[in-house]
Amino acid sequence: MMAEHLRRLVELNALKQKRIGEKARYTAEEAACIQFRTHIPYYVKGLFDKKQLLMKLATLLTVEEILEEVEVLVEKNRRDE
Amino acid sequence: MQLKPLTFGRVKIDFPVVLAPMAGYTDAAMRTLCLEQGAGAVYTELTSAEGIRRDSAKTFQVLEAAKGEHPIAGHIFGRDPQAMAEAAKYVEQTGIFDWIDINCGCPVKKVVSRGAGAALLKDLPLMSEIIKRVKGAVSLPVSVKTRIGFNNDSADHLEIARMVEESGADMIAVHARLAKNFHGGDPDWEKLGEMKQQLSMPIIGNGGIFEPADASRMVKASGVDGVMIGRGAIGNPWIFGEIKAELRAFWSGAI
Repeated sequence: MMAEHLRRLVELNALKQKRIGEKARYTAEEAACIQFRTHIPYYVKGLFDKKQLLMKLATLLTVEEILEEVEVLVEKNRRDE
Repeated sequence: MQLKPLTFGRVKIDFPVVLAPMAGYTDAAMRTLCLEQGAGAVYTELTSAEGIRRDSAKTFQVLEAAKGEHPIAGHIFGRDPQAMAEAAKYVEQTGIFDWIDINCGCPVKKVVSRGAGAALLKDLPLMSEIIKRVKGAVSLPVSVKTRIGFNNDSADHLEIARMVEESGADMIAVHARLAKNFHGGDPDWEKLGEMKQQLSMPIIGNGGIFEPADASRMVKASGVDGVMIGRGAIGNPWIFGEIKAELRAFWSGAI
């Protein structure tokens, strides 16, 4: 669901930028990743050691990077269970 | 008592468990996910009436919606009745929205310090004028999103309910906390029930819904016509489907 949410944000930002037609400061993907920063803490709520992911968020600007980091966190929680 | 499809004006919400308007969260991506998971309706983020008046590009972006995103409310806030009426007219003219919703409940300092959102609860005549002007400016149904009061000294929930209905609103959604409490403390669902008793228009209850069982409890405690979920849906769009299943089980159990 989180990946789908991010993908839709990228699509929406791409549409928005296409319509506005001006050169944007961020690519659609970067803008989506920035917008998604407010949502991620809620998606990973309850997971152990999420603080590192949340601190890293400020530097993650691609969907792949974000999903990879989330996967690392989920895997870590699975192992420690 | 059971949650039935909710109708006001031309709007029909088949499953009246809806996503609340939340600035910075309820963008089109989140709204479409929630609709797919079972939300009966969605609201846009807070849209500034002054922003629309001043042609702010950022404000117009808030009013963008994805294809097939229905039912959807255009959610506006402000304190100037004329600006609110103009904003409502603009929202209607976009042709995207099913109804207009007026924010009279946001407790955030940035909004309240401008006399908008929950600050309107301290000035019911102005709130009433805004509702009347918006209602007069559009042909779409108009609803109000508010709280049970601003603080213990301001108008109480029953006064608010009476005024909103008398001003011509078609539906009201009420967060069961005082604005001064933001999201803290237990929501007072009993007050929602008292408002429901007094109103002839539909009322949607909001506040304190984080688990499917909370929705059943709210409906049982207050008899509201619908449930609105805000923070409980952030990072958890599944909650709508879960509530659908929970309510089905709850009511079939009750029968």
